[in-house]
Amino acid sequence: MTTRYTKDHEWIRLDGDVATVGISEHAQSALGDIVYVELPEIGKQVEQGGEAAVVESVKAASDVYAPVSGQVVAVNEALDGSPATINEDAEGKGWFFRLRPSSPAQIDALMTAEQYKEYLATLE
Amino acid sequence: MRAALARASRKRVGIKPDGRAPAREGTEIKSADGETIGKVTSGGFGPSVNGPVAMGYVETKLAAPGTPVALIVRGKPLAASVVALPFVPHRYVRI
Repeated sequence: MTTRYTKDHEWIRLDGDVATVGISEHAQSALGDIVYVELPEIGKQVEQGGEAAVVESVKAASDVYAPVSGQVVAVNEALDGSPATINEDAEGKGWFFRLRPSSPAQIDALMTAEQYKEYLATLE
Repeated sequence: MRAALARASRKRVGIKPDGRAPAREGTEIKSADGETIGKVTSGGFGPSVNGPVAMGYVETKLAAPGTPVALIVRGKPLAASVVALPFVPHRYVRI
């Protein structure tokens, strides 16, 4: 069960045939205090790179893109009441939604934690 | 001055979204009947209020505190109401 990352700072972790998606630790720290999230509807079909959720911090609103195509099967409803969970544990309890990937191979093509770290270094 | 106020067709008001979603600058404001009545000039999260707050211009006849309005955020209407400004009265003494 490894975590992969996108250039848009989402992470995705496949467990069985369902993958969990969230925003990276780097993303949460860049956004600052998160005050609101808009999660997709369960059952929604999302396309790789398409808008899947919205995260609003005290600074700005940002789109969260689907790292891979698939169908949304669960959303983290706990975030509605406490969006700050994302700041506290972005890559754990602060997950956004779960989806059933239509092509799991898309996940393998994303960056590993190591590659993402190198990618972040190029942004600075 | 009175004449100028009487002519003002729009007024700057405070707007409090009912939910948690902040409305940002430029958000369209609609009346309960779905008519566009103004625009948010500034909006975001208010830590002192612990919720979203906004300010904007609306038509004078719909500028009374308590008037229900809708904010069009990402294509969806969000319920909100016109409120009196300031959101949080200041509690310090000017010297």
